[in-house]
Amino acid sequence: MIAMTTTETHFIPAASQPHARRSIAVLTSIGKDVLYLFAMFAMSIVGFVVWVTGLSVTAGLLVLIVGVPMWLVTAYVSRWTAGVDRRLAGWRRGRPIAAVYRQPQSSSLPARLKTITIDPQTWKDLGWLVINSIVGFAFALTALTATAVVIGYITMPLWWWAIPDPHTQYGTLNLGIYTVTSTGWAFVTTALGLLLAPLALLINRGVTAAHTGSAARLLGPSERQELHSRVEQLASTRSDVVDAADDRLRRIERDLHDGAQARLVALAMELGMAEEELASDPEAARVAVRKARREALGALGELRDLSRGLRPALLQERGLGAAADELARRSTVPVTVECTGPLERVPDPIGTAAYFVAAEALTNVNKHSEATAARIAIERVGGHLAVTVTDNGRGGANENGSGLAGLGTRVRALDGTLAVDSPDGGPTTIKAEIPCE
Amino acid sequence: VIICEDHALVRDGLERLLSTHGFDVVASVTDPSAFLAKVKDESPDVCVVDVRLPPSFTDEGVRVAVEARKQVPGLPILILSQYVEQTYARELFSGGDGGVGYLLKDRVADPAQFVEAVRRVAEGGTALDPEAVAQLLGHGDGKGRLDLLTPREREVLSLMAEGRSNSGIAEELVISERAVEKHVSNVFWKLDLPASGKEHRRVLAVLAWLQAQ
Repeated sequence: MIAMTTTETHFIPAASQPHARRSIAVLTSIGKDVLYLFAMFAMSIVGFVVWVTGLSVTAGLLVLIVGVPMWLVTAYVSRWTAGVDRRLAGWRRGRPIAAVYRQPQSSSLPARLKTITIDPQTWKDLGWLVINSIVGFAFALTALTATAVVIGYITMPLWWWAIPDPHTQYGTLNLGIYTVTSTGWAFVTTALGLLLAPLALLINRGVTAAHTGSAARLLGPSERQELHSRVEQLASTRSDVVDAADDRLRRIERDLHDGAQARLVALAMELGMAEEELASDPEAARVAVRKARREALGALGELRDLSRGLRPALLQERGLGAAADELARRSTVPVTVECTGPLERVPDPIGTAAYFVAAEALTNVNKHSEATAARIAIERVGGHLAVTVTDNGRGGANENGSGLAGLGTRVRALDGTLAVDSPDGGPTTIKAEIPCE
Repeated sequence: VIICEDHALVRDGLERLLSTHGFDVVASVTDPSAFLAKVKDESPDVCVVDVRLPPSFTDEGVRVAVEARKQVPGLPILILSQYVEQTYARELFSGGDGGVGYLLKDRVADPAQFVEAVRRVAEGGTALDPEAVAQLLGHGDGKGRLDLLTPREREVLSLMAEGRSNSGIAEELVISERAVEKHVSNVFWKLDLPASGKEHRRVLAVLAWLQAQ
C-alpha cells in the first residue's frame, strides 16, 4: 500500500496498532451493551406505565366525549416513548431508525385524530410498548441479573467478609455446592465468575441485538416505506445528475466557443492577412504571423486546460493519491496531503468524484479563502471514502455556490454526503463521504 | 462599417482586416443594445454582427439584426457565426430584401473573399455561406426537382445561392460567362423560377424556392 511517498504525503497504515485497537473496540462494545440493557430495562417500565394508563383511561372515558382527546394524548405519549426507544436502538445499532409518520392534512383536531388513528405506525408503536414492557422487561432483567451475578462472583474476595453471617438467608453466600466462608473460597468464586463471564456477555449481546433488531423492524419504516423513500431519493438525484450533465455540456461548449474557437478564428484571420501582405509588406506579414503563432499557442493551452478539467489523466494513470499530490503541487497556497487506507482500487466514479471535491475545494481555497495553509485528507475506512479539505482562511464559503452545489449533486448521486462548514472568519472544512465497498 | 462582436481577439482582427481593405470602421461594439444605438447614430453602410452576443450568448445576433432592419429598412448586415443553422438563415433571408449575409466565421481566413462578401452585402446583395447552401441543397430526397439538374448546373446553383454574380461564377468554375448564363437559365427553367436580372433578386428566388422544399 505504501507504494510511493512524496515529501508532501504521509501514508498512514489503516490500523497502526491493530491489536490494541481491537481490544478497545471489544471493551467499548461490552460497555455499550450493558448501558443499553439498563436503558432498555428502564424504558420497558416507562412503556408499561404509558400503555396501561393511556389505554385504560381512554377506554374508560370513551363512553364520554373526553375519551377522544385522551386517545390523542395517549397516542402522542406512546409516540414519544417509542421515539426514545427508537433513538436508543439507533444509537446501539450505529444506524439511526427513521420515524415515519403520516402528516395530518391540517392542524385541526379531527384531522389529527383521523391521521393518527389510521396511521399504522401508531398501532405498531403501541404494540411495541406492550410487547416491550413484558418480553423486553424480562429479557433485560435476565441479562442484567446474569451480569450482576458474574460481577459479584469475580469481585467476591473484595466483599465476602462484609456479609455478617454467610449462613443466614439474607446475603447468602451459599452457592449450592459450597459456602463462601474464607478468602480461599472467595477466590474460587472469582474463578467461577470468570468462567461464567463469557456466558453473561453472550446473553447481553444476544438480548441487545434481538432488541435493537426488533425495534428497527417494528418502529422503523417498513420495507415498502423504505423503498418508497429510496425511489424518491433516486429520482431526485437522477434528475440532479441530468441537470448537472447538461450544465456541464453547456459550460464546455461556451468554453470552446469563447476560448479555442475564437482564437482559431483570429489565427486564421491573421494568417489570411499575412498571406496578402507577404509580397507588399513583408514586415507587416511577419508581425501577423507572429500573432498567429501566439493565437495557436493560446488555443492549445485552452484546449489543454479544458481536457484536464474534463478528465484528469493522472487520476486514471496513477490513482487518487498521486492526483491529489498533483493538485497540491499546482496550488499557490501550500497544501499537505494525507492518504489513509487502500486507494488503488477505488472504483472510477468514486475516485473521480473525490478528486473533483478536492480540486474544487482547492480552487476555492486559492481564489477566495485568503488562507496560508490547507490540508487534503483522503481516507478509506470502514466502507467509506472520505475526502476532507480544510484551510485556515476567512471562511464564508457558500454551500449553494455553483461549484459546491455541483459537487454535492455528484456526491449524492453516489449515495454520499457533502458537508460544508465555513463560518465567517473561518476555518473552512469541506468533507465528502462516499460509500465505497 | 459597424462591428458587433463580443470577443476582443476576433473584433480587433476584423477591425484591422476591414480597415486594411479600405473600409472605415466607425464603431466596434460588444452588445446588442449598444449596436442598435450606434446604428441610429452612425447610419453605417454595412454592419458585421456575431451571432452569439451577451447577455444569453445564444442567437442575439440574429434577433438584433432583424430588429435593426426593422428600424432601418434595408440596412445591410452580415452575420458571422460559428455554426450554420438553417433556422437563422431562414429568419434572415425571409424579409425578401437584399443586403443580408450569413457566413461562417471560418471565412475570415480568406480576406479577399470575405471582403468581397462584405462589399456585396453593402451594395444590397447577399452572401450565404457555402456550408449553408450545401445544407439547403443536400435536403433533396432523390425525388425532387434538384435531381433534374446536371452536376454543373448544381454547382452553378450553389454559387448563385451564395450570392455570386455571373462573372464571379465564371471565374470560380473557370468557364466563360456565356456558359454560366446558359446554365443559369437552364436552372431557372428546370426549377420553374421566375427569371430576374438583379443579382440578389435571383439569389432570394433560389433561396425561397429551396426553403419551400
